[in-house]
Amino acid sequence: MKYLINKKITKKFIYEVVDKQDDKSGSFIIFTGKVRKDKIGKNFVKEIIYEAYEKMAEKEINKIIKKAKEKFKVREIIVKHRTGKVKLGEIAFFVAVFSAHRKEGFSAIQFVINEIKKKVPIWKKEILSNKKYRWKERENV
Amino acid sequence: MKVLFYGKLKEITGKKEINLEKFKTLKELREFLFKHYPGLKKEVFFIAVNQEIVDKNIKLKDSDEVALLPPISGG
Repeated sequence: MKYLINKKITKKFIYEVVDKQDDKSGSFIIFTGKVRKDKIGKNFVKEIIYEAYEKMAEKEINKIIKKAKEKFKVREIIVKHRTGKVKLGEIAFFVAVFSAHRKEGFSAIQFVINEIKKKVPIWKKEILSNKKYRWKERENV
Repeated sequence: MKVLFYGKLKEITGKKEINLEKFKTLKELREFLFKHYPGLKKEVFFIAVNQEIVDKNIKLKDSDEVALLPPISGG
């Protein structure tokens, strides 16, 4: 699997991505989405189990990256999305965009994040502090 | 054909995957699923055939992979 991973997105991994910024990429933009301590009644979200239809998710992310590269003329896009159990504070979603200038980079990263949230078959099962769970409904993107 | 269930739908059917034969169209398959898993009738979901979202009644082959997908909530 290229985009989905079932192990931690580490600082080491992020630094390795930072090092990929070459001389033609004046701009490098990074987004990390972490598991947030959302309050649900008297409880809070302790961890999220991400379930994916992996075969389709990989294809859809690939299509989105291809489309973003064509539309915004950016140089490189890196996407990682966790599957399985992700604890509070851990990174669940990572996007990095390399481009000549910042303007197209910001447009591309917004596009990629929104499209992934809309089209890639991944679901969140939120585990609460009282050990109950709920399937997260889609947020507005 | 292989039929896959995800998220809440997996809990409703109690199954992650089932193998079925002899369904010629998506409409026939949908009717069978609603009859066997009536809980699905109340749910909002999309159907993907071979990893592509389908919103029409298309013909099916035994080699197809059909997936029932609840509204997406990743990211």
